[in-house]
Amino acid sequence: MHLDNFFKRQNLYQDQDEFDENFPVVFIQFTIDDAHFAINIVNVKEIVENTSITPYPEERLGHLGIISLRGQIIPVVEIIKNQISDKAAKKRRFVILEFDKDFLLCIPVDKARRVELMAKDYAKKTFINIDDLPVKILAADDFMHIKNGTVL
Amino acid sequence: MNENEELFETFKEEAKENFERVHDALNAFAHAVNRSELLDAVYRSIHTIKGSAGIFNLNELKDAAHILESKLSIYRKDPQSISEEVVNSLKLEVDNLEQLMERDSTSDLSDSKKNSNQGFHLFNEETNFTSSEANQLNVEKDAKQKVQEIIRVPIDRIQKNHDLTSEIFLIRNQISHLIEKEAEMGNIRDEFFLQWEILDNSLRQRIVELEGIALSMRMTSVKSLFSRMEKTVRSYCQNGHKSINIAVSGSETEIDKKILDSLGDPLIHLIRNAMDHGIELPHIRKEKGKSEIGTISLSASVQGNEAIIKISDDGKGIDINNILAVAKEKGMDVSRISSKQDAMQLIFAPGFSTAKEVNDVSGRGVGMDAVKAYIDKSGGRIHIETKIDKGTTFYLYLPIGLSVIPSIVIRVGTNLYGIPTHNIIQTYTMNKRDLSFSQDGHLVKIDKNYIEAYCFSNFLFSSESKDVDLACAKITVCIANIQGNKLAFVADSIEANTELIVKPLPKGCPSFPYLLGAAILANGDPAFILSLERFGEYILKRNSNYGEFEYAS
Repeated sequence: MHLDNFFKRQNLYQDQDEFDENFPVVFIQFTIDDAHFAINIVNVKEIVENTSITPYPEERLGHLGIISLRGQIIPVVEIIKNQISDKAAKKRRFVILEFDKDFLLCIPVDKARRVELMAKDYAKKTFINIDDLPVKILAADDFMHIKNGTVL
Repeated sequence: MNENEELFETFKEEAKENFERVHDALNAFAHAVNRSELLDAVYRSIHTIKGSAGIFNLNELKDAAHILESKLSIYRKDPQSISEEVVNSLKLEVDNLEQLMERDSTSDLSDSKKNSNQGFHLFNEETNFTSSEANQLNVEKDAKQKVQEIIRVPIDRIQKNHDLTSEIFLIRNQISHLIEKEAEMGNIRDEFFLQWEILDNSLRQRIVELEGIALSMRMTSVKSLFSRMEKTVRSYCQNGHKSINIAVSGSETEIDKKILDSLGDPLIHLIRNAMDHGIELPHIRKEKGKSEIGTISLSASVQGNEAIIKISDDGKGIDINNILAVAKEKGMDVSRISSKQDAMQLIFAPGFSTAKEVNDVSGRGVGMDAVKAYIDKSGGRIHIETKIDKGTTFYLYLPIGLSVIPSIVIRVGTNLYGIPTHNIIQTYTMNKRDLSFSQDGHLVKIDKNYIEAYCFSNFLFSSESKDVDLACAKITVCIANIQGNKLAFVADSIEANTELIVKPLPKGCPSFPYLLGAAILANGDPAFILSLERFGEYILKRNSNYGEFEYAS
């Protein structure tokens, strides 16, 4: 896809003239326990298979530890408490979020899939209905407090 | 950056080097045998600064350099007769030149300097050179030819070079781990393994060398920074009522340029505080039986992956009771303060000052919090030692930069941690029964002496049993020196004795006072790197009793 079209589709242009609320925007929808979330694909670096997490030396609420993604160390956070069995934990996937060059986060999720949403459907909304499920829309601002290691 | 701006940057760098040479020569002057050679070196440097200042139309600097140069030409006739007073006055004049230089170099290039058509000219038209000056220029020309061997490289490129070297090192570790594992399983022929081992050792050595070179590219000596501090003290003594000597050591110590560049202001705050609040007035010092001349010592050294900058004065020391009283007056909560170090940390609170008067040097209570903020931001820490009427010492521990650090990897439950070996005096493998119990905790007997022992598993998160002596028959004991005392730290086992590349924790990680960062182990998993020294301090702080703090009468 031409980059210009991509940016248009993701509604990343600041200029309101460029904003088209009928354009479909790609999101990654993911499930943690019974909760559903979606985030604009521009904030998703990649989705990787389950990998081992090195826990912090002391427990910190919401902070699970770190992983190595091809040598790069990335903090792992949980946005809601997920009470899953060890067997289920092995099947989970890791969504790697990228907010700027040096701020990446990893979120372990049960399921993840690609969805297209119309801007008019998600703009200014916290929850939207996807397949009759309440899906919380996440944005970069929802993660900025973690940047300095703040407790979730 | 256009060509002229680039030239101006080069001029600034060269001038900085010349000022350093002048300071070195003047500092060595008093005890030098060949004074004439030193004075010639000073003269050459000042002359170069004058010439370059003229090229960039920095007329005030050029004129001041010219006056100093004229004085130097007189002194050159009889260098042996130069007194200490003259040397001190020369130092002040050089300080003045540096100030002019700093002032001019911080302001942008003026339009005339930016405009190459009318700005730069090699020499003023009215400048006439004598034959001796022409010879001098030839000497400088030779020197410049040597300087041309140095090239300026953007710091980003140096960083990239270093990062790539680190990645190669990491890949080598992983390949080595894979091959060793296969060899253990008998899947590799002995002959092949031996040949590979020789090559791998050679590769490892080369990568460590390469990493060292990559790291050294970013390193700068603290010399210029210390010289700035010396200047601050000289200028204070000139305007104030105190006589202070400054003793400098370890100025060749190198630290990361990024850290060095922003270390100036925090150091100046500490020096100003020492001069203004630490060192007493001469008559008070005399009454206390001290020399009327105070001393501020500045030293730098490297220990492991940290540079230690030490700033000490022989002044009145910090009265902890006074700090607590002022903190209470300011409405601060002091109920949780349990040790002298805790109380001392109050001086870093924003707006905290025990000074009754404010002057142009210090006393406003801004500064110490800036010092702390800077050190925290750099990933360093501050330690203070003080004794009433003896003086105060500030220890600034700063990370030198990323590097390959010889480390051991310990196991605590299911988790692995790296510990730099420079933190460790000795390690022992023992049976769990060698651990003794006392009222206050564990003890371990080493060379007939009992040493307090702390099990990592009681402090660090582990998904397995919390009590190390229940979990394994054998234990590993690491002995370290913490705040002057030997302490033992007990782990389940040592998994590897290796070299690790320590990376700072990325944004989004919570901070732990005893973590130096993280490293990727040979199996590809990340592990946290512990500073045993900081960990020991952390434990002692956690275990400290509230009754430990002594109130002076």
